[in-house]
Amino acid sequence: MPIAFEASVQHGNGVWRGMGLFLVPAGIYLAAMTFFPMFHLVRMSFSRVTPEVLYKAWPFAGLDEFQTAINLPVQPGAVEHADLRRGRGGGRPRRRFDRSPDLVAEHAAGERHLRRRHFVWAMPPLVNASVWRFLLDQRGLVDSIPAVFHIPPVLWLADGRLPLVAVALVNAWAVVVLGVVTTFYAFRSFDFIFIMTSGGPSTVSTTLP
Amino acid sequence: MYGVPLYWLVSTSFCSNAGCLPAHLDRQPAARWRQLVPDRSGTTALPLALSVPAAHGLARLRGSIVSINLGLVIVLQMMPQTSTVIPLYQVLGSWNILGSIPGVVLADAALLLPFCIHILRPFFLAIPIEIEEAATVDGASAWRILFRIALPPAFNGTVTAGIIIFLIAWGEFLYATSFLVDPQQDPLSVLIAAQIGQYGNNWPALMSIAVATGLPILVIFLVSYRRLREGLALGSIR
Repeated sequence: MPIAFEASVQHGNGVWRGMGLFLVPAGIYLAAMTFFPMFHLVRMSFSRVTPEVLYKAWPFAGLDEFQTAINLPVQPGAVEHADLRRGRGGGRPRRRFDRSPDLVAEHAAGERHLRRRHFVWAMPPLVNASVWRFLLDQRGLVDSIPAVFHIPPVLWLADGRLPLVAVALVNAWAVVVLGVVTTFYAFRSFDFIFIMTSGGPSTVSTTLP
Repeated sequence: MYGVPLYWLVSTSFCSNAGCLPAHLDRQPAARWRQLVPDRSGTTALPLALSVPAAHGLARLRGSIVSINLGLVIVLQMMPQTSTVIPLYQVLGSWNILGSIPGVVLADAALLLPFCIHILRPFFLAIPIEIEEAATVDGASAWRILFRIALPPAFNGTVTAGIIIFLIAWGEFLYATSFLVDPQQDPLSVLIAAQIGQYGNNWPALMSIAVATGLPILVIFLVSYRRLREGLALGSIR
C-alpha cells in the first residue's frame, strides 16, 4: 500500500473515531440536567423530603414513601385513567391518518384540512384546552344546541367518567395530525387535564402524572 | 371540528364580561411577547446547538455506542415532564438559578434536546457517506466535516427542527409555572392558566391571551408551513 494512502486511511479512521466526541457536549448536558435530577428523584423516593429540608440532608425513609403512595385512594383509578387516555388518544392516533397523509393532501380540500390540523397541533396545548373547556363547559356552545330542543345538557366536564372521556377526545383531536408527532406530544398532555378539569371533579380525571 | 373552536377562540377574545366589544385585547401579552422571544429563542438555540453534533455523530458512528445512545434518547423522550419537575426544582435551587429565566431555559433545553437529536439524525443519515469519506481522505478533521460538508445539505433539516422546537417551547407551561416565582416573569401560557379560577373563569381575558399566544405561532406556521410539512413528511420524527 502506498505510504500516502495508508496515512490517509489511518487519518480517516481517526476522524470517524473523533466523531464520538460529537456526543460529548449533549451527553454532559443531559447528565447535568436530566440524569443528575433523575438520580435526585430516586434518592427523594427513599427519603422524607419536606420543604424545610429540601436543601439540607434528607432523612432516609426506606420504602415508607412507596407504601404511602400505594395507599393513596386515587392510585388505582389513576392507573386506569392513564390507560384510558393512552387508548383514546395519548398513545396512537387513528390509523387512517397514520398511513395516508399524502392521499389526504392530494386534494385541495384535503390540503386545507391537513393544514388546519397541523396548525392545531402547533398551537400550545393550553390554548387548545382552554377553547374546548369553553365549548364543553356548562352553558357552553356544545350544551346550548341541545338546549334549543329542550334536551337536558350533558355535563361533559362534571358528570361521572365523562370528564376523562372529554379530555381524551380533545387530546386525540389535537394529535391527529400525521401520526408522526404523537410521541413527543405525550409530554404536552399534562396541560390538557390541568386546564380542562384539574383532575376533577373529585379525582375522576386524575391520572398518574 | 377545527374551524369552530378557532372561530370561538378569536371571537370571544374581542368580548368582555360586560358584552362583546371590538378591539378588547388584554395589554399584558405585548409585554410578555418582548420577554418571551429571547427566552424561547434561547430554549430553541441551546438544544439545537448541542443536538447538531450529537445527531451527526449518531448518524455516522457504528456499533453498540449508537444503539445505547439511541435507546437513551428514546427513553428520555418518553420521560413525563411531571417526573422531572420536582428534582429539577431542587437542582436549580441548589445552583441559585431557580426563579430566573436562564433556569427555565436550561430546563426546557434538557427536555427538548433528546427530541431534537431524534429529529435531526435522519437528515444526516440522508447525506451520502461517500462525500464525508472523500473529505477524510483529503485530510479534513471531524469538526470540519461536520460544519463544512454535512451541515450545509442538512441545513433545511436543522431549520425544520428549530421551528418545531420553537413551537413546542413557545407554549411550554409546566416548567415555567413551577420554576418562575415572580408573576411579572410569567409567560403567556401561565397567564392563560391564571384566568381559570376557583370561583369563575375570565373567558374574554383568557381568550385574548390565547389569541396573543397563538398569533406568533400562526405567523411562523404560515411562513414555514411548506418546510415544516416537508420535514414532517420525510419521516424525520417517526
